[in-house]
Amino acid sequence: MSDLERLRAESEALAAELPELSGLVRQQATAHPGGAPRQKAGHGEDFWQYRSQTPEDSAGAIDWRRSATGDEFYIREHELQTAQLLEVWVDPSPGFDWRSEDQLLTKADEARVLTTAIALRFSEEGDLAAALGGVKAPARANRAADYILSDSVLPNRDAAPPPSRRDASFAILASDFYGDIGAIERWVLQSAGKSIHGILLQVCDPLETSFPFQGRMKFTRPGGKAEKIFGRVEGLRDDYLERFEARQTQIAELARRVGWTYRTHVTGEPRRGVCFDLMNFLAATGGGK
Amino acid sequence: MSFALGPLAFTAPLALLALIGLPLLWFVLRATPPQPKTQVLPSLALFEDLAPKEETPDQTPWWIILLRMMMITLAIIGLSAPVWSPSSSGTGEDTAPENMLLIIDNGWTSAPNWSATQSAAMNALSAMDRDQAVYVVTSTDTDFTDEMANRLSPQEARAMVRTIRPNGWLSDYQPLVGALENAPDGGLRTLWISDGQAGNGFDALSDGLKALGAVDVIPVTDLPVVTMTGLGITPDGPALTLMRSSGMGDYPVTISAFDETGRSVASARGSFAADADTARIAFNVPEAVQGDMAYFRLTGGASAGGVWQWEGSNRLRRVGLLSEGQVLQPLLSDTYYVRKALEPFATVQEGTLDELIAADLNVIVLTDVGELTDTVKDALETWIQQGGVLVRFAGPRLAAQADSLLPVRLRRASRALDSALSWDTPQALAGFPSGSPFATFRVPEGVMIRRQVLAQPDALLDSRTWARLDDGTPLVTSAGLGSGRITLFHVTAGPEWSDLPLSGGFVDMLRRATLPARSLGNVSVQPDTSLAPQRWLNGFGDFIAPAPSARPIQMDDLEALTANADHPAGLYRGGAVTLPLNAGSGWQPQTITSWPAGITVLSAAERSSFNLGGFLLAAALVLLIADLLLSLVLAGRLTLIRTASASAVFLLSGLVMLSPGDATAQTRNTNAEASDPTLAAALDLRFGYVRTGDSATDRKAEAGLRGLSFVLFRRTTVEPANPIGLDLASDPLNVYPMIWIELPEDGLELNDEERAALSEYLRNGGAIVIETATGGINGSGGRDPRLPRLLEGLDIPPLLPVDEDHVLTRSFYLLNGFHGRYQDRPIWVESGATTTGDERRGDGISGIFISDADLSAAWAMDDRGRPLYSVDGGQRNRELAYRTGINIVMYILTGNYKEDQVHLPSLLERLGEVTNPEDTPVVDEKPARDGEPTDITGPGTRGDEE
Repeated sequence: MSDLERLRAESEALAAELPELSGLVRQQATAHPGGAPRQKAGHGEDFWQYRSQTPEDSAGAIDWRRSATGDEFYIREHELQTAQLLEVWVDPSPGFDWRSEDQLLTKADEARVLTTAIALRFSEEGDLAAALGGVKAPARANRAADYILSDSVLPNRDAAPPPSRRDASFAILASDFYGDIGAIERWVLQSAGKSIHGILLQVCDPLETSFPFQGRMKFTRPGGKAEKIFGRVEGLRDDYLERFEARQTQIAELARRVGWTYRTHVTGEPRRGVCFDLMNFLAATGGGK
Repeated sequence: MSFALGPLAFTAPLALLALIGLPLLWFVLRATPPQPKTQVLPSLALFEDLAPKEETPDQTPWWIILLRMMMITLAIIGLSAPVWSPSSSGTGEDTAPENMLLIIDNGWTSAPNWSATQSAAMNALSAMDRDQAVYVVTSTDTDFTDEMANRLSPQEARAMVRTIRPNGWLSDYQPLVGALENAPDGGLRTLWISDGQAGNGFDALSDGLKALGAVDVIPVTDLPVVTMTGLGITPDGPALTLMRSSGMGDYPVTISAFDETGRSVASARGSFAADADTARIAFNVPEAVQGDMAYFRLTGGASAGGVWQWEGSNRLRRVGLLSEGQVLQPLLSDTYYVRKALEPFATVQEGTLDELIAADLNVIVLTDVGELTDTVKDALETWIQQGGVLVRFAGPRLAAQADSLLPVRLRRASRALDSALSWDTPQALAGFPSGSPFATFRVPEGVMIRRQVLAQPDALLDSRTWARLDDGTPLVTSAGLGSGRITLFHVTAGPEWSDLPLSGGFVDMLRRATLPARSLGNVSVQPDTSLAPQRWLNGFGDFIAPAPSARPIQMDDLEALTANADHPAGLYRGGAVTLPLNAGSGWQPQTITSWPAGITVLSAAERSSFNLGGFLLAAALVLLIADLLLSLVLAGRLTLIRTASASAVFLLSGLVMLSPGDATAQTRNTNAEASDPTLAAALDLRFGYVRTGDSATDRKAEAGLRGLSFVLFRRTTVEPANPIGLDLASDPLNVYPMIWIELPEDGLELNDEERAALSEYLRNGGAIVIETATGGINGSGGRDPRLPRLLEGLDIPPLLPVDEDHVLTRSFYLLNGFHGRYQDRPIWVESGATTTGDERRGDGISGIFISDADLSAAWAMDDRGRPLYSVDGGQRNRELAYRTGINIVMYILTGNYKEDQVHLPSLLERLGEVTNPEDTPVVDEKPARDGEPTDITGPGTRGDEE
């Protein structure tokens, strides 16, 4: 179980270093975050229509100024406004919740810090954020951060990302993408079809990117039973890196195809740069409303 | 069975066949690759299908293979049980295997070399053929029928030799000489492991053995036998005589003395001079330590002779004291001083005279006993004639009526040197005559004799005097009676007649005076007493429990008794006699310098062989461990060890960092001890108050006592320091002249410990003042319910309110009533003054005062001397309250001094002079020390007298 308090603190520290989304949006000069009118009655700020009172309406809902002009009671209705929604998903596979050294965070925790920091910034001006497939409703600001963190460590989460709550929302998928790429691809294509904008965030451990092994080695994989013994692994390094880069290219290609973005982050490296890039992407695609 | 290569023989040669398998092992070892390192890597998923490029194992380093081959070779050779025996070629010429008689000296003289003795026997046995028979006998045995019939194989003999231990007596060959007649037939070759000392019957034994067959002797005398052979007593402590068997040269020795529980109490060093066989080592220790010494042990000399037990009649003093029954004031009792003075060196028993005479004591002390009844006197006289020591102290009763059990004839009536009718002044101690046992003592200074009983002048008086006064009169006289002695101190044992019991010299004098007239062991014990063994010494000098079949020693054959097989060295006890039987007592070394002709003297090495198997297997084990460590290093598993050692270093440095902190804490503790309240109370006069746990009450009590102390300081010669809060159970109460108990609202209950402490304080003459502070509102007619709860379980005599002519009303000020915060309240005191009889405690001075006037509130002052509470009647009444307090303190400190009717006329005169007789001070406040002569009642003059 991750130390949520610590992750929360790190997220907030990271979020404090990030620019406000609205600032980015102004810079991009594309769209406004916040409420998007839905063309029907509901909770919102703008007037929508007056309608006659029905017995189930409470007396407090009556608009007395309008009603005073006639014998009938009127209810003032507002146009429904809904907020933008950002959903984040942290890969639940055991291999993702792993670290090579005690000083580092696990890849999953690193992903939680990054996504939570972005979600904090995203939701502080009225927009909503939630964990993809989480049990808690989307929320704003600090509560969103709490919900995302608690939902992202729930046990028994599916290996593949669950469907999004709403169309035309935003999504961040954080994983190492070592697993079944087909499931990810299916989800991305489906979501893109629902005009969801997304980010594919790959989080790796330094040991996985450098592969500094020598001599006779036995490799095991968290969650996998197989043991693999190699004599002279130094000869294997080139092959390994080749495959690693091939996987990255594959994911980048997938993101490019649907107009999403793809970033790689290595645990222990500065987080600010990658977050800044992702915030910029969100601001640029904020015109979904 | 065995297979030999020169002096090297293999007892299990078949095991060597395993060496053939070594080349096979070579291939197996080469083919096994080292254990791979394990790494968890999630990205393995990316290349799980990747075929290993190179699967040929890493070569095992050649030196590891060599190490393992060596290890296995050593193990195989070790298992084949090789034996190195240089003498085996010599024994080979004896084709007919002879049976062997193995004689082992195991008297305590063999103990220093015992392991060498045992290994010499073991080696000789292991060099023997398996078919040979061995008979094992020991030199301390007395009955050899079993041993001579018990035909052992060398293996069984080794097991037997392993169980033999040196015994706590000397070798005696005489029984063995007799047993040789029953020796089994056939050739017997004798091997004799000797300790180099010719025991009783040595010549007869060597002749007898030569008749049986060839005799080999292995003398094992590497270390000398060092023994304590006697003990003398010097004024400074015991002195031990030591003797050694051989070995010229300077030889340092340390002797430690132990008490009964085995705790080391003293030690002394000395050495044998280069060419001396004897040495004398003296202890220089205080007598209190001597009293604890139970036995001495030579450091490093592990033999029974290196232990000297020191007990019994020559040291222990058992003193009987005629008990006085219930004593109310222990500090005024004669026996208290005698008991305290005897405690450092004697065991004291109390009882009636009949009990004491029957109790087998060395000394009986009688304090101020007048005439004894005839039967008791006769019994006592008989007891003295048998060697008892009677020590008597004078006193009023002895002065009035003396019996004949005295060293000198006494004059009737005592002589008081400082009484009103005497012109003499108290006499100092002049000194001790040269014949006196006290002659070596320094004359104690400042000891004044105020009263004594006088001896009738007599021709023998001078020779019987042990101490005399400045004017030549005897203070201590002593005379022998039969085997015993009577000593008389011409003063009391308590401090009434003289200061002697208070001086340190009293202890020394009593110590000498109670020395036994003669050794008790020969005198008071019946010849048919048998002494049962309490503990034995084994040959190594360890104490062991006596065997169940142990026989007691009869007193009649005590003469010339030495430790033997029936009575090993140890401690024997019977009746009042404790007999230490010391192994080294009277021992003389009888070192054998030349063995009789016909006996071959061998060194231990010549008859030994050497088993190599164990060494080889041990070497293989060492290699195995080295291999294990190397394998760990190669596999990279030793990181654990590295972190462990790092954390150890961290912990160590942490400890070093901590230690200065401890040091400062300790210094702080010592500072705290310096401000110990008990010490402060003992150095200055202080009042104590009981900490009740109710902080307001405690503050009030302290402020009140502070105020009273302040006023006392200003007006009188009583100059108390600040009061101290007391915990009745744990603080020593005797240093406080007055203890204040301020009752809290909800009362105060004492637990058993506190109650016991308070009772003892009262018995020893302390005073407590209980302040209920109710002012009579609560219980003028009735009772305060808190008082019975407080006083329950205390020994409280009947109480009365103070009447007008009680001393309390005139002990400093003349008072018409007692005032506190409430006016004119009664104070209740012990009614002891009105009772009669001897049981009056402390001359009828009350130790308990109960007041409800709230005195402490009236006295209470803050740090700057400002009153804390309002008082009925204002400042005038506060003054009266202070006067009440001063009177109480004066009464507590001076007792019934003012009760004396001598001053009555003077008091009456003064009472008549003053216009307002209500509360006039008897004297001016704080009179000059040399005040006018008529001022005989002033506290200042009182102070001079004290």
